[in-house]
Amino acid sequence: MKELKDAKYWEIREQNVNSESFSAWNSHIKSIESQTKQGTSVRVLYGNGWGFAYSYEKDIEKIAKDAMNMAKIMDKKSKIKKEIMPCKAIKAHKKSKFKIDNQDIDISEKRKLVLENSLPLRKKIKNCQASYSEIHRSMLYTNSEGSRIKQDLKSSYILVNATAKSNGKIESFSDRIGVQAGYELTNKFPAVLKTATQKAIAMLDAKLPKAGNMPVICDGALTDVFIHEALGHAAEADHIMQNSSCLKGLIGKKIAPDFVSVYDDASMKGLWGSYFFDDEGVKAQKTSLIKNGILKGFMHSRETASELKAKVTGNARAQSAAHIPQVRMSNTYIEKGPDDFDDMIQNVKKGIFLKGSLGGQVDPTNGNFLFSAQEGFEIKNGKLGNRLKQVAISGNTLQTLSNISMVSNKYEKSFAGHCGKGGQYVPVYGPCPSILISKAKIGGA
Amino acid sequence: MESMIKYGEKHADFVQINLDKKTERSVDLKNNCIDMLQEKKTKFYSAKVWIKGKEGVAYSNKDGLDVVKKAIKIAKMNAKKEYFFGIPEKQTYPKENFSGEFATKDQLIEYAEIMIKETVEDNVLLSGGSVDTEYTESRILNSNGIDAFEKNTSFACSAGLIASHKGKSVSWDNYEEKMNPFDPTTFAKKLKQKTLFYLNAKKMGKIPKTIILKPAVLSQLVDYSFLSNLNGKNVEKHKSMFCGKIGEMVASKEISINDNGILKGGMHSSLFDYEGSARQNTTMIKDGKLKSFVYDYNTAKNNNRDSTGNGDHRDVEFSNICINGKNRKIDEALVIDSIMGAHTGNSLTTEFSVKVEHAHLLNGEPIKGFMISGAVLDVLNNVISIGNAVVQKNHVVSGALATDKIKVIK
Repeated sequence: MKELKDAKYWEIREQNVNSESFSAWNSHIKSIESQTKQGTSVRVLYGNGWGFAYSYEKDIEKIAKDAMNMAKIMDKKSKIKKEIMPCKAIKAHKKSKFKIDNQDIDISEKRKLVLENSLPLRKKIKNCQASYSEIHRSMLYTNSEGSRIKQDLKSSYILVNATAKSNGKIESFSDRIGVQAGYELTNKFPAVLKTATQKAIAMLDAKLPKAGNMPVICDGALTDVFIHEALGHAAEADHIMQNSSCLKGLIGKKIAPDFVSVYDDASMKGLWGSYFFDDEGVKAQKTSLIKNGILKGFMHSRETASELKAKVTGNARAQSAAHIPQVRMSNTYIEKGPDDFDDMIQNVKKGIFLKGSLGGQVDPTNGNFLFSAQEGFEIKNGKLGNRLKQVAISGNTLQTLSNISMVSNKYEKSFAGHCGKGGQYVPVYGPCPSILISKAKIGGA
Repeated sequence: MESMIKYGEKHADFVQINLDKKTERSVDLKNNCIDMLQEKKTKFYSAKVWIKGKEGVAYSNKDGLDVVKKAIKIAKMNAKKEYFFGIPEKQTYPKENFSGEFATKDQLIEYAEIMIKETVEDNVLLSGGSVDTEYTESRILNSNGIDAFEKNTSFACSAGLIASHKGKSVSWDNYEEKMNPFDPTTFAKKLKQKTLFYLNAKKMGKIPKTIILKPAVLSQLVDYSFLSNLNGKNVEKHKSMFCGKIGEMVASKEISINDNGILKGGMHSSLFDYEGSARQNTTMIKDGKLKSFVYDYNTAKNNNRDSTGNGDHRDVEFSNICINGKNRKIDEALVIDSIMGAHTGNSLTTEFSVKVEHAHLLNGEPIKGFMISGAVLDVLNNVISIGNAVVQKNHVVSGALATDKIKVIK
């Protein structure tokens, strides 16, 4: 393209997204919506300046010209050298696998699905909301190296949120599943409905935890959030480059026990955080972050890989063509360990078992984090006791990693989540085992 | 849009078409330098139709009739809504202007260079940040004769600083947002001052009973762990602790909370909501008593009242939440400057448990290493004082709030 001929590097992303979402509450339809979105962006590196332009209009030459002009302005202002890691040109067309194509199913069928799974008012359940959504993303990526990559990704998502009320108390509980798959996911709706409604009622009797430091067992879903927040963000190489990671300078150092290994892997088939190629045309792959307790590597974009003289890892992701790629996680998990879950519970004299996640947050600069569980149980003398709610754990990445004392030998279901960074959200997942942290700070009553 | 409405009126009982066009520009900052200049142009049509009480909704950024046709197709295959009273009628809107200046690329670069100049020192790194500006045009047409248009602008500066000295380091990030471009010198200087102040944070000794939540902290706790209880749709569907409590005391008698969609300088002010209802100033809590919820058109009609101008695409949306109360002198307190994890709070019970990132003793030393927990409802029922320095952070417009109903966990 003549507009980009003087660029050091350029890439063009063209995207078409079609989605449908269905929502019902208390057996009444809340909303049925369809969305169609198309757009094109061009990102240019000219000299030492980056320019980025996006438009819904199909005039690629104009978008390219705008991006190039902005890159030239930035080049004049730039005080540091900018490079990206060159990669071999790739020509590929990849599609998500599915058993039942959502687009073959009638709207009336999907409407019936959410109505059936959103219960009417009954005894203690005062609100039950069921949602189903499907997203079909078609993306074409081309760059100055000659790559031309088409990805057709399909994802499906179901969620039930139930609200229970009794004796002046009110609580809610959500269960959800998201996958890169087709309509076959909806077979799991009844199980999701059952979990959400039963747990919402159970949470009416839950107590606030006693605050303090204690041993904590996190189930797989909560471990996923812990490893995402506490380790994952600090292992994103842009944080290393910006001196905002507590892991800077620790490659090769022991930061966790021998039995702890952590990976990020976007190539895992069909998971919520999976893809075939990242938004810089790099193939999705498994990256070792911690191996047998030693910090092995970080997640990279082409720019961070060049700056830090590392291999590209295929972790440059953008929420859409309207956003610039950033270093992001995909499916991040702790490798299963040697321990039996029942042994873990029996190992705790006085502590807490936490399940599910309400999300978390971290300051990767110093490794301080907080994440919250959906529900918890007291552990006394190796036995589960009272149900708990609103349990938050806070701590420091390096301290908490070194306090992991047991890792269970089974992977568990996690939650399909969305990770927010720099104003963008991308789907993430992490099938983790349960872990025992010998000492963590619990916030509570 | 006119052809969309005409087509829709031929095939449906009611039609609403919205168009939002936005241009965003930003300069990104990284490691003490300007990094990237971006510009994005987006456009979004939304078509809503109703056929015999059955609703169909479609969104698209493509021109043409496809978006209306899709909405009609959905409506025909949908079930009747639980209730449907129609769509807003033609009406007059507030005589206000919520549009300012749209910053140029040169202005953004100039302000970005000021941010670098005012923050970077030998021991202070500007790790990341940006200077952003947005210009939006919104138009709505509906089959009841509404044809309304307005422009909105916004300008924001954000920065994350890392200060270090003798082996210690601290990070602090903040942002400021206004309708018009502003010189970020004061913002940048204050940010640097705060970051350097927190470099010397120590573990806490004696804990004062009174806790002051700075506006940024109050805003997060109210947003995530309280506001949804005032959404009229949630109340109707039993997803609120305030069901059946209109007229009851729900906060301290000095506390009043309004949803003001026409607040001068408000970051969420506009002339009309997504349904074309005029924005207004709705008193939700007055002198501690629950007076009203906020509604969209149909939820309001189902509750025998008029829309409060809070209709959004698919739900009820808050605008500028103004919290007012008495200001009193406070001699001793723990001031919470920033927190982590507010989004994990319980939006129904209003309970929260969060980590404190930055705090200091009132007129005293910076403190670190603790959590706070409580319930926003308890906080609002035990307000000691609300500060006079009113600031808007996200939806909430308030001074700092002092209370003794928050637990500190060391």
